Amino acid sequence: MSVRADDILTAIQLRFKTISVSTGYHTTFGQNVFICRPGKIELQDHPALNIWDAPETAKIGDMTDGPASIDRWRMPVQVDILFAGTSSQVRAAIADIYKSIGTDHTWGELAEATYLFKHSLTVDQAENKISGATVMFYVDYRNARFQES
Amino acid sequence: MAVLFPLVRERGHDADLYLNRQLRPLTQIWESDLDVLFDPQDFGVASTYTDPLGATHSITVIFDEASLDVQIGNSSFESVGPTALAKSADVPTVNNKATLLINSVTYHVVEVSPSATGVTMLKLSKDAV
Repeated sequence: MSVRADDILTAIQLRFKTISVSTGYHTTFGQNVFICRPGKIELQDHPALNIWDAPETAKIGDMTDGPASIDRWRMPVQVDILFAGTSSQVRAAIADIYKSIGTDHTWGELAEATYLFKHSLTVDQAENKISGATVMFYVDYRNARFQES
Repeated sequence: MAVLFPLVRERGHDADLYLNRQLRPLTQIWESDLDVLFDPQDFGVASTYTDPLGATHSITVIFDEASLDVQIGNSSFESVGPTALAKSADVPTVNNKATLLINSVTYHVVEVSPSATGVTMLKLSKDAV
């Protein structure tokens, strides 16, 4: 039996993998999409999106009076965007992520809804210009009480 | 106190002598060793320095391409941080409009860190600032 939070993260990864100019987006940042990839992301793997269910998922309610007993959860999701190039491409990637979320913010009815929260840009310069961003949003979902599934 | 005071004076005097003896030769040794350090037979690499006004100069630098991690959110991006050490006398007007041609690659100077030792550290990038 799968775990709901894991199913949602996998759905997010699959959706983001469709981000490509050929599918109507600004960028092709969908070519390297990871979930909680630790360690260094190498230059040949850029542009890259790294998805984290961080920092913590919180219970936001429950319902026990109806026919089903459920827990409601709010999972923060952080997407790190890594790119060896200019910041304008990263801004376009942020727009692509929001557009991608908007195509179905229930992630195939795995979740109740997705709420956009914030994003922040980082620019550095090493051998090449390096631009990145973190995008944060919340995914609300429910499951049978005391069962993360 | 009468006994201790001369001892302290004597020690202070000895310390002054010690520092004078040690520091002066050390500075002289460092300056003369710069040429040895920058020698192409040792650590030096031939390069073409284009100053901010566009004039070119053949200089020798000590080039390094250290691995560098750039942190973005929870993720780490691997890159390279090229740097060059140059004699400050060779790059008196260097700023981020200057370039260095090293091993057929043109690097833009993105940061300049002069020091009191006669050497200037240049942070380099293939991309202009």
